[in-house]
Amino acid sequence: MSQSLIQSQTQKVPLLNVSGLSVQFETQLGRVRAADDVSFVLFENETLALVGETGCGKSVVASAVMNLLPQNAAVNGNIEFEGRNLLDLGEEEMAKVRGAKIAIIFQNPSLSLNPVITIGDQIAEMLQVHGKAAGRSQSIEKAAGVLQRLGLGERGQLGMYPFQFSGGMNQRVMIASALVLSPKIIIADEPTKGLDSATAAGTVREMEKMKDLSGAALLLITHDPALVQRIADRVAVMYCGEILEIGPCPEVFHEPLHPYTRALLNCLPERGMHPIPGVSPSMTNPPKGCKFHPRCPKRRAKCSQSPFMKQIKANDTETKSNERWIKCWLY
Amino acid sequence: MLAVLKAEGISMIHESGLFHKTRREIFRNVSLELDGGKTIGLMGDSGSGKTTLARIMAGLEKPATGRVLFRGKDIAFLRGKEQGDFQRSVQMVFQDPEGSLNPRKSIGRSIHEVLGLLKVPKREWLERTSDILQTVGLSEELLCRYPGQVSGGQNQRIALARVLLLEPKVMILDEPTSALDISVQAQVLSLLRELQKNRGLGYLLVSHQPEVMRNMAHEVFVLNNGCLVQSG
Repeated sequence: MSQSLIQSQTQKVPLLNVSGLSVQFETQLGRVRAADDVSFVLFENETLALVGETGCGKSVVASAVMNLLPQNAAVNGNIEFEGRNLLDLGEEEMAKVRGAKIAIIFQNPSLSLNPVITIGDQIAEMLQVHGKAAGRSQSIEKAAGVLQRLGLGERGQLGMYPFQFSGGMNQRVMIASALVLSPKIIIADEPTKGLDSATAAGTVREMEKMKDLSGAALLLITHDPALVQRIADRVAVMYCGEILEIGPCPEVFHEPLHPYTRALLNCLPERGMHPIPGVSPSMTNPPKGCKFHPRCPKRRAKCSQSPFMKQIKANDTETKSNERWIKCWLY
Repeated sequence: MLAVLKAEGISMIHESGLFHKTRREIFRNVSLELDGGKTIGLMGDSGSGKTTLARIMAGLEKPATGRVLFRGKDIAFLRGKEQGDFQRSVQMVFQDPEGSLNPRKSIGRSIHEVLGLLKVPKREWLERTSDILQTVGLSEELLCRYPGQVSGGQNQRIALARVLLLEPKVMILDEPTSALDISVQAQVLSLLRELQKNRGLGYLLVSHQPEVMRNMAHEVFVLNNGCLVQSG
């Protein structure tokens, strides 16, 4: 699928190519299929949002890209970046990619920072570890420069500790440490989770600014459709470890094709808050065939067989693109 | 007719510091009326005192001035049967569903605890439990699990089930869905709407999402700079 996707968009340069990624965990309750045949391409300068409910495997995909999954994870598939499969790299080589070429912003900024090291030193540490600065003073100066662009970084603030900052300020510190090595890809894992609305809006503004400043591609992982609509170019909808729909953000929001995407968007307060019938399937024993079919209002007999990813050709190419992919028997 | 719960000119002052006491007024002269069958929305920035106001209404905190009336009587002076009546009729649901359940008690025991406090005879426990689980849309297989083993939305519904057993008249909902996904938020909020229709419950809903307010609230108040402003 990914090959044809690349060909259909010749004007864009693919940066990260994930194909057939599956992640399984052995647990006491059985084998959990956290990601199942996940394929997508992240192009240069674009923002791709990975959307889905809690526990659908979004963060597992991010951790797989960063090679940060725990020992008991069985990972299969390909994650191609700069001509190499990231899954084949050893820890030493991967450490050179992490932060320098692919950076990640974790959820809960206050817990992701070291509480006993000052803000300035934490950002400067990135530069020193990757050998991008001569000494401590030079690296701190660079760190101050990045923080200043994000509206922090007065001299006094560099010597402060994370607990002296608010959640929103810590989020900016996280963004700064992601930006400081000018990576090609930034992964943002639920950047607005647990923040109140005013701080979340501020974080969205920072993310927009970050996109402008760095020119990096952004893989945004979130369950917040408002954030997606605001900053994403394309959106991939995940359910129970699978990607069910990929397409340009405005088209997916305006005219969702997959029944799950439609149901998810109908949960939004502005669209009437209609809950999805049924309960989320178990990850250890998911339904056979299409995983959404037990809850789907449009299910048919064929839905008990696994659907495959299909490209939807637009009739009217002026207003619509040919970049929509759906995993559903309806199409 | 007397309102079930009424706040009359309450204000709250926050004192901090050991030697140099600083006093900060959180809000002043706030009046609210809460009745069955209606949802009052309460909005405001973080730190504006929404949660404090909700906790005062639930009797969990004392206001600096003013009083909260339950069926016309000041809740600070309720004793005996009247106090018990207030504590049953006015219930609060908190933001963090997992934090409001005891992690070392199975869900079944958490629900049975309430039945024990209500002095329901033991032979009715099973029936009452399955009834209430049906009301909140949960299956009975969850009963032997612990709060850490079920999802956030399920935990919030268990917290609701416990509250509903007490047959409250008004419920104070402090951001009941802000920790939940939009799909689960839709489930919980439509359940709350249904309960209001069937049982005539009154809600004081604290939320920072304007769209949620538009869908749920009959009247919306905003706490702004320590004043309560009605916004329709």
